[in-house]
Amino acid sequence: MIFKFQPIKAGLHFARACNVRLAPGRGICDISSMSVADAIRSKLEAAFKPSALEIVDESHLHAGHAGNPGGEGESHFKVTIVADGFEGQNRVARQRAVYEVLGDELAGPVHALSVTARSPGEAPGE
Amino acid sequence: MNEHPVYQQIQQEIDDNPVVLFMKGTPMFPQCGFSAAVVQALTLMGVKFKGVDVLTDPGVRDGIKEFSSWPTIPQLYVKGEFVGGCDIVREMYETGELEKVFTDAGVETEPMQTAQ
Repeated sequence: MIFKFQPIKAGLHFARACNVRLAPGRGICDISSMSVADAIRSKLEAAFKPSALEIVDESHLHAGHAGNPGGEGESHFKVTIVADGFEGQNRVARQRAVYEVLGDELAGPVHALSVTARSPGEAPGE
Repeated sequence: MNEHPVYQQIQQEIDDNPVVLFMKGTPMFPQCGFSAAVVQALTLMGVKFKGVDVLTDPGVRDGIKEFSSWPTIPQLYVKGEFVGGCDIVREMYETGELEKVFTDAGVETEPMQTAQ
């Protein structure tokens, strides 16, 4: 929500946080309208080259309680990610890797992030 | 790392108690759905555990995240080892791995009969 109140400042901050280059002539509007879910997606895609990636915004389920008091924020996400890099890593290592990539989001707007990380060889819903 | 007083306090908790859950709220009154889910799993398994309410201690609330290199609460420790947060505990509960963690650690479990 902060992006709507302070589109310019938040947009620049966001661009920096996401390592997004501002395209000349396009202004920062495109960046400021980038949702938290989009930021999560682009960061995870860049970091893990996942063969499958699902991001579900569950914020509406938590409207009115801690982390999403106004009920309108992008605060609660569920991520399912399948990537080669998770092969041979235990659960804690996988989730730490995901948390690390999304450090800015977790320190900022994201109050809760549920992570399921698998290697391609593992059956889904194992 | 152990020079930090909060780290010492956390280390003391996981040294003194075989199973420790750093959580929001208490086992009786969890203040967060994720903490409640882990409490439920432990309760269903009949595992005795110490709940540490991070909401009553801001130092521990921040400290535990650095201590474990894990940015979220809840966090489960068994015999001094970090097991994981809510997602991992839930998955390990469903696959039966969690019970093995307790068995291997010599922690008593007494699974409740559930109507499943």
